[in-house]
Amino acid sequence: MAAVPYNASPARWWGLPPEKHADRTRSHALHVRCGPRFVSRSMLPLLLVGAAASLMAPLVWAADEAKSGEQGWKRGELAAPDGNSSGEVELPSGVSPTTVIDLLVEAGWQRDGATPSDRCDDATFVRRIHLDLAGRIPTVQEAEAFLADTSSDKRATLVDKLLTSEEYARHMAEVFDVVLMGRVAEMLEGDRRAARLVRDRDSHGWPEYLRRSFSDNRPWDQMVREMLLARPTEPEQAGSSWFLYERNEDAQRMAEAVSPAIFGVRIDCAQCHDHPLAFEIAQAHYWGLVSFFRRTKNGRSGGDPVVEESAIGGFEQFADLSGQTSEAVLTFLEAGTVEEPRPADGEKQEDSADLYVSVELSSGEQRVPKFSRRERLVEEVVDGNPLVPRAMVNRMWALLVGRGLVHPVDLMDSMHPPSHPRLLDWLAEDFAASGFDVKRLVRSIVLSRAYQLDGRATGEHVLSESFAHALEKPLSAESYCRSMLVAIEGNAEAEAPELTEAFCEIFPEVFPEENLATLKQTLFLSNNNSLWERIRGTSGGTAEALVAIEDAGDRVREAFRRVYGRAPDEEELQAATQFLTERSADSRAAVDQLLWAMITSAEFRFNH
Amino acid sequence: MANQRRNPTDGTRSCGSPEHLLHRRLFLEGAVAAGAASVASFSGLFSIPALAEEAKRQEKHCILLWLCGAPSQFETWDPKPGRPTSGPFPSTPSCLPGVHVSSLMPQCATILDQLAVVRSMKTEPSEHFQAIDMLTRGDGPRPPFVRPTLGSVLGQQLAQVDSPIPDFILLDPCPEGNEYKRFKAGNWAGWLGAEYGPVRAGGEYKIANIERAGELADADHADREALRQFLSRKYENDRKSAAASSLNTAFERVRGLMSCAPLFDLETLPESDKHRYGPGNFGMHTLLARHLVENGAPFVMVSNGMPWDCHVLNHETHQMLVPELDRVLFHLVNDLRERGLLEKTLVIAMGEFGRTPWLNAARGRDHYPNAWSLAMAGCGIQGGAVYGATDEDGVDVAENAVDQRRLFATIFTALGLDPHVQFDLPGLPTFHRVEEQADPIQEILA
Repeated sequence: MAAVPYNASPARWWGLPPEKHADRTRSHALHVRCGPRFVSRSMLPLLLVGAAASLMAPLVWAADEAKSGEQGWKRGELAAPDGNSSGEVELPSGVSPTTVIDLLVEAGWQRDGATPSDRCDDATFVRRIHLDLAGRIPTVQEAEAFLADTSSDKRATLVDKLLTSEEYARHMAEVFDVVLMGRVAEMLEGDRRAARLVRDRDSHGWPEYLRRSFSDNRPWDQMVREMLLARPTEPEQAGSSWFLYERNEDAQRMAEAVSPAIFGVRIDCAQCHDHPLAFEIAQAHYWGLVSFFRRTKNGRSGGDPVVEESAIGGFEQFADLSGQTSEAVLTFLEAGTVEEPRPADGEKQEDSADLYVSVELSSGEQRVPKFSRRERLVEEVVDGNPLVPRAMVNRMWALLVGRGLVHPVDLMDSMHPPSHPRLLDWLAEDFAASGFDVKRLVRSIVLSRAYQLDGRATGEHVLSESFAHALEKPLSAESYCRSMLVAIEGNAEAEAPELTEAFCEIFPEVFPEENLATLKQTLFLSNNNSLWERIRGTSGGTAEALVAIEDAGDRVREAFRRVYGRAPDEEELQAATQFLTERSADSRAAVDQLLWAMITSAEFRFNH
Repeated sequence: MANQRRNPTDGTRSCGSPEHLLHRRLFLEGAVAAGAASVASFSGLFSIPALAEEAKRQEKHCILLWLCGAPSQFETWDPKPGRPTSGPFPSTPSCLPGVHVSSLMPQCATILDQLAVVRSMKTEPSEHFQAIDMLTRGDGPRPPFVRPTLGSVLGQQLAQVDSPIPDFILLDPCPEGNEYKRFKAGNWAGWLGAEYGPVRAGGEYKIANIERAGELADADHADREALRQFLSRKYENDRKSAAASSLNTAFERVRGLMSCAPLFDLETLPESDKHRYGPGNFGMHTLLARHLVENGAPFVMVSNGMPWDCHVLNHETHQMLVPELDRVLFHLVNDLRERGLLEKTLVIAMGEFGRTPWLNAARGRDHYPNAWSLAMAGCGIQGGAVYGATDEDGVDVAENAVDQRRLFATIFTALGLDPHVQFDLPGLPTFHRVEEQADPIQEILA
């Protein structure tokens, strides 16, 4: 395992010789091309009308250069010390993943010259861990019980308790719904079909499948197989078919969803040409992954949606814009090519019952092809592919720590080297070796020193990718809405489905590339009627409890305890007390406004 | 309480009572103290008081018609009739002797004496994201510093002190656009700070949640926000949090925007105007841009997804898009002139590069930064100027190549801003408004 200097060029990282790198750069500067995907979807019908069918028929776009499989794309070659250039960090054998994280992140601090922040206090930890594992802030009772606990391992105990809670499963299901399916509001932009799509996902068991999988800690590779194969044999897997079914036989949509969610790589731009900057992503890979889904058909069995597959067809050519065509073959990234019988030129394939076998699925008998492309995808591309655990490890790191080891999480290509390559390698291998145990991975990360640091940086120029202080994470839409309900209602049971949906539209992102607020968001928080009505219309909650307190200063103290889990400082106490005192004529209204101000300010908006 | 006067720029108010003034001061001091000590702000970086004040006094404006995806120069400003690289559309003589434009632009042909056309743009990035980034910021990336986009710089420089209208408005009816969509999700304001990012509007023309929620008096709305800002700035200050800073500045703009919400309502504009600019989102939003500038907006950028990226059926697509551009640009320039605003308003119509002289197998034209065209009009621009030229097939620039730096130097100079201002801040590299002392194109400046 050769050590590679930390600041090696991306090409070096990917085992590409420098001269090849230069060639590709140059050739791309000369051949400027991109493809038809840039034509907006709404324009396509117009274009098709305007075009002679003969022109469009060979609409095939393609690679003109060698496949990237030749580029020596091997995971092991990427390993590099996470410490300074003087040498590798010694990893004692048999240590826990948390210890490895600590050692390699600490080596990174040395490398970056970063001084780590202190360990966060218990009040910070209990809020942070509830938001990350339960998707909401703790109730006052939960927080205070934790603070009162004097046992030395209480953080680990709380982590284990939360990991077994149904709220953990719900939170992960919400996150992975966005990862795997995308936000409905974004896809359909206020379209009336949006509400129906949410109902469809629900009624066909998709969210339940995710909830149950994370609750049962179903191995991630198994979930991936279930979603890609869509042949559920047990009732609790039934919802997994929805992953493909919703894409409605559109193989390109399937490929474009699978690649970032499962492999951590966005390939959309390789539809028309090899990736212009990340050399290992070839156009053949785009069309190869698409081909795996080309025979996928939606069907019904007893009224339930099922995903079927035909045994023939789905052969296509793709061409680059210089007109050179190639056959799309079953291939993806470094996985090699899956051989399959191909009809000779001019030969017409006949579909026949001999090409299928019958299998017993939870929905009943279903015929599946003897040569199944999706089966081959699972067995020859997914199984054992190092990208699968890498992408998941990186995603969970990003979710919990606030930034991926590769950032952004869906651009794990040669243009985006990891900040801690060795840690990423180690965690990915360990995750695979553990049987893709998601809870173990989560537990390892949240018990690490990096996760438990205070949020205040020790200096002006501490890089976020050093992980030397806890990074702020904006609450997801669901977490923000739910936490707001905890704060104003005083318990964790309250629900507000319509308000949650509104939050999802306004705060769609779960893995933002940059942490930027928009005016759309602040207008929503300032003026949305449902949000304000929920605050002022709640009875039996925090506002009523505050109004019942005589002294304005005590009201403020209690509000801070319930909403922020801390006491106000002098300035805060003075400002908020004066605010309430000036409005003593209508103390409920004053308290509602105070609660609004606290919930919409940055301390509440972020997990810190 | 109903009749208090409110200063629309900061969203605070005064009802005159001593208690209230005290109360306000408490919040304001808190906010100011927190803000001053907060994360390093570079907002002074692009501000040269004397020049900026002069520009403000003159109330200058800029409208950028951002033709994202990149239009073909052959089907717009630089036709090559009779050459193999020409498309099927003939050229048409303009009102300038000897100057032809594409026959898809008959209306602009009649006002070419008021436009300046640059036919010798020559830039480098050939992929959308990198090109959009460079042609909206005026220079290539220099990590970790992010140069602000043109709208952020001009929004700051041309801002009117007492105007509630956002300094940088992005009218963006189509939220999609592949690489452009990704660009839109990024950091527009760069080192100027989040408050110089765009206010995005478009689509249904109305901005959601712009009205105050029922049952909440305006005074309470303002005071509640002041308390929020006080608490939130304290957090921002304590943590030196850039995320909180972004949130707080986005909140600061809420009340100013609310006060000018009616300006964004296309319904209020005359039907005859809508008829002339329309149909279509691009025309409607250009009309809205005119309306906003008439009401004092310093910078408005109009885009509509990334429709110009014609890798497939270039000619058919341009046959749809160019006549719309022709109509919209023609009316915009005429309307601004009739209203006496043209000499104070710089209009720019451009994309991120041009398109190939040759067709691909799908009869599309691909990306081509090597030789392309754009047009400008209005403030500081010499109407009727045609600058630079390409060779007879439009393969390369034949004379007077213009890169992104010269273009930006020209834009700043046209608006009365010194393009070569240097900024030296402790701990930062030296930046200039335009790097490398790039010369503005004197030939097209008035």
